[in-house]
Amino acid sequence: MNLTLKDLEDAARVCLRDGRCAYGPWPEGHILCPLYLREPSFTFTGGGYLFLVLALLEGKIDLTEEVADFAYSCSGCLSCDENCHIIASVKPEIGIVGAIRVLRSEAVRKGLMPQPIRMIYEEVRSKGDFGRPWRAVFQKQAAGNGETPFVFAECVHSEGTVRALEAFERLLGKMGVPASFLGTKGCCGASLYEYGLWNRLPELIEENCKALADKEVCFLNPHCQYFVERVYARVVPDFHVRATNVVQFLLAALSEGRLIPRRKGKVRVSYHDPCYLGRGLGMYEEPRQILSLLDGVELIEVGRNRESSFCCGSRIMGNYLSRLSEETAEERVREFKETGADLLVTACGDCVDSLGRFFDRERIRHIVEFVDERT
Amino acid sequence: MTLKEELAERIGPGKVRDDEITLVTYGRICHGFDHMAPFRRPSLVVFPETRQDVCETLKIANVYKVPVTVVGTAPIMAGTTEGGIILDQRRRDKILEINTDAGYAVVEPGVTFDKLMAALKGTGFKCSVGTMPGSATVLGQALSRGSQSFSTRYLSLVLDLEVVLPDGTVFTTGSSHFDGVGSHLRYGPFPDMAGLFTCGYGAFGVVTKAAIRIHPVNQVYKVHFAGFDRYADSVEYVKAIVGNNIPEHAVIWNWHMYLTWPLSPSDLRSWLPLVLNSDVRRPPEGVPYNLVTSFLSGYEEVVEVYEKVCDRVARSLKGIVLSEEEMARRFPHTLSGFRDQYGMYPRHREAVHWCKGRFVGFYAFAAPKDIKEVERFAVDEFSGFGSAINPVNYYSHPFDFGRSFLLRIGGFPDPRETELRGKMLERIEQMQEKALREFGAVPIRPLGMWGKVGPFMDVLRRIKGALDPNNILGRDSGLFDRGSR
Repeated sequence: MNLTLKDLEDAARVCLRDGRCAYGPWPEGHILCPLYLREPSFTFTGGGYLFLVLALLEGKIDLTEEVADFAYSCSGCLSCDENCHIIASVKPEIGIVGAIRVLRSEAVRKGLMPQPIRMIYEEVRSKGDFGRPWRAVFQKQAAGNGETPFVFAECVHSEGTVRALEAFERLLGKMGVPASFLGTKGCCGASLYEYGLWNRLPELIEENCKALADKEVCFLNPHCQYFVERVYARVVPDFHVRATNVVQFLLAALSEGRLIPRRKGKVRVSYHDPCYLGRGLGMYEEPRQILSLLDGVELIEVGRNRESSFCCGSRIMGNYLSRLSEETAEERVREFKETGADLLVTACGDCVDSLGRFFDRERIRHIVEFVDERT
Repeated sequence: MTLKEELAERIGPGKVRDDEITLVTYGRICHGFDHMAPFRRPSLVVFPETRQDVCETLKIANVYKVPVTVVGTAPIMAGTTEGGIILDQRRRDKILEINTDAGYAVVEPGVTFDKLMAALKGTGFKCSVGTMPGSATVLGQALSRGSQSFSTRYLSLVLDLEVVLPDGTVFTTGSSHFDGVGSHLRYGPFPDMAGLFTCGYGAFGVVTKAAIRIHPVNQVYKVHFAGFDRYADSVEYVKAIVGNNIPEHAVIWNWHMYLTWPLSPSDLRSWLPLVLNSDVRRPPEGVPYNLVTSFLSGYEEVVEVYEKVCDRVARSLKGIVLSEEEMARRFPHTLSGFRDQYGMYPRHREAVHWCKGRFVGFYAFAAPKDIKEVERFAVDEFSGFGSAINPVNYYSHPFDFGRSFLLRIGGFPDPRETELRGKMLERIEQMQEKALREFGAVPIRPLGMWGKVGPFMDVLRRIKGALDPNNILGRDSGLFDRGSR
């Protein structure tokens, strides 16, 4: 979090400029970068960002509001890092998306940021974090019983996550497991990290580490889990948390008979792989295994799935390409409609909200809601 | 009306960009072989989506006398021109035809090897590949006449080109210039015009479509491995088997390259230390200096015989034969990499070495007896730079049934070592001169060679003057010295 543009120079200089970062794996070779899909140009690739960094370092361009807007126009979907092995080999701890975060932090330092980010910035400045803890009153009573994991319900920014948490609480009730929700600052810092709002982040992380250390914690939001697992230890080197994702938790419960599928009518579902659960945490099969264990559920894959999944556009905050967030979600919805499935299931509340902007909300489910309905 | 406005009006505003971010990111679009290449900010970047867009762009550029540089995704050699237009053809990426009767594919300029290979899956055909990453464009490779498999038999991938001249004229070079005829034949009753646009580096016209050779996947295919301690023996072996029509193609790899090139990035980290600290001239005990891969294919009975012939010829030339089992035991990564290379061609390839450093290389074509001298000379020269440039990779293979051999050798110095890289580039220029003078070795690119080809350049300049009187195309592409013509 002390990184500057200068730290990116080596990585930027090894970019081959061949646009590999915009595409998914062979042989399908789908375009996965939302920017590139909209505007096929070297500029709108991960490499384009790296070349922009070089141009900034060499004084070929100034860090302006346009540059900041461009920096926030990346969705951070990680597909570039998954598909370019060159940059990761030079700066594995940063990668392309990490480099874009550094660019954002530089913009923030100069006071340049798009309006949605400025609002978060102001909130952090006044409150110290960007937390939306779920049921704060309930959290005060929370206590881990040592057998079940704490549920991480801190960054509840989306309606999709609220619905998933409510469903999860019901599921825990069905299993007879006492819910133990962890309530501390109400923010893990993942959003602040992704948006380059790094000023107060180290102290937030240090504080959260005290609450999380050595506990078993179940995450519903893959962004939070990715951040806590991968980044906290960089700030607090001896930090260790036993992290599990809700899809792993539910899969175990269904496999071990702690949750019993109910007989229900047939339904055809399509599954959207959230970027940070899939590319970030490598969980592609667990949600599919859950669906396969539920009665009457037929999975129909969308064209771009698993490692080739396409982003929902939820984290595009810039407007360098107008309506990019909206068009990215629309593109994903279009792909889903092509499957002819009845329901779209996913495992991230942000995706639920983002896709729900352009689709009948009643036909979108967080996988936790879906399991609750069918057990 | 400005140039941009006029262009936007003719071809559509979404295809013309002049925002600062686009201009600075295209300021060094020239391929990453050398990040020290000068920064040249274009005035516009144009993304044609149709042939007509290309025609209109060239017509307007001609009126304004603005230089135009054409790129597929990232040009290997061509430099761009300060203040010029970059014509980025990546949006033209359709595979227009796969003709499995005559064996050709018609592609637009933005089609990548990954895309073509994927489209060919299940058709019973494959395309020729080199050591470039799969995201390289087929036309980039074909038009720069890079090294690739099948060059043993064919010197070029190209059968037929569609070209737009600087004044907007459109024509085709091969059999398709007859109305209603397909692209199966490069040579008709007229001169072979495709030759003018291969290694023309975009200075004569803009290629908007090409028919390229594809090859049938035979009933059986197998890679034969033979190891040699001397390059001269490897060349004799390849000459013998190619001369007797045995392999589809054959490649000689040096040990630095065959041990590291086929690896994935994670494997590279485990293998590279051995190579990084070694002298390329002296492989460790039990590691052959060269590995020759011969791609054998055909009917089952024939391939069995081919294998036996390769075994016999290799042994008669002091070589050893490495069975698949032995390769799997001794060089598992190499075997796995070659299986990919000759099987499905995934995306790791030479690009893996870029994780270690920037490529600086020397290329030469020479007659078989001379290429042996060139190799000794080049390996000594590269060793002189020390281990900082390891791995010192080379591959070498015959062209045109062995009439000529290519040697391509390169090192991978750290990108930050600008002084070392500068010295290497300077020395390589001297090496090209010496190799030409002493061994009759022909370079692969024209840089620095303009004064050594007699009246040829004058003829080329006259053609350029006739086709492009305002010198708008490929002005800094390197075909002509310092942007002249």
